Amino acid sequence: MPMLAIVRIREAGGRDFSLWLPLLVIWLVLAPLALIILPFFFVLLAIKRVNPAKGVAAIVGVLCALGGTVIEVESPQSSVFVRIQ
Amino acid sequence: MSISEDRRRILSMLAEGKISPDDADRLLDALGAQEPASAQSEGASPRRGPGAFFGQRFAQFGFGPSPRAAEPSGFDASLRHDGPSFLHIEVDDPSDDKAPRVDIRVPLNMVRAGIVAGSFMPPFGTEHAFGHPTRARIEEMLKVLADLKIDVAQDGRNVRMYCD
Repeated sequence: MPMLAIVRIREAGGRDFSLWLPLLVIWLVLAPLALIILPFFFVLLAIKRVNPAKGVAAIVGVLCALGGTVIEVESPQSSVFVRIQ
Repeated sequence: MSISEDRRRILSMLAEGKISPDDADRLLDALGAQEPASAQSEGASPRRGPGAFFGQRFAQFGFGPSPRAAEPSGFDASLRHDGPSFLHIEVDDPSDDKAPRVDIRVPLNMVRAGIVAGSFMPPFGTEHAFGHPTRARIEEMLKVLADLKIDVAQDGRNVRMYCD
């Protein structure tokens, strides 16, 4: 599971903004919310006849595979750089 | 697990629609090939018995551990590289300095996970796109992506999509 997100925003006026975000904190913050949503998610999967364990594993798999994602958008006015690792 | 039980398991999976007839045929062939092989290798190496061999075949269809689970101990599977790792999407306009440039790199593991996630949620429409792909088919799809190169140029703007 990715543990660090780097966000860098640069503007033409010289204003730079860099953020090194430990994703572990975000996962811990979202964990209680996920636990609250989980029963409703299980009910939805049961209605759609989808194995709930596989459904959860699939979503966790997508989150875990985010590591290595890089998004970079540059324009003369500003540039945005996001890296998840 | 006896051989006849393996055959019964394959046939029950076929009856339940978990595998296609072609997959069942391949499994039965593998089981049949394994029967004389297990007789010949009896007493040779106890590490990979019929259960592990059959387990690998099952793993190819998304059941049980990954096909790489039977690799020798100490082997770091993360060091293996069997094809492209990232999908790159680049958009730029060399003729216009003011045009934005976009560069996105997506790990193919996420594409793989997305396909698997979509295959488990057919009521949301993805069954028409992917059906119920097995792990082997997903890997085949991703290997084909190794040759993917899309290069579109229009009005000076370039859009490139490739895997490496």
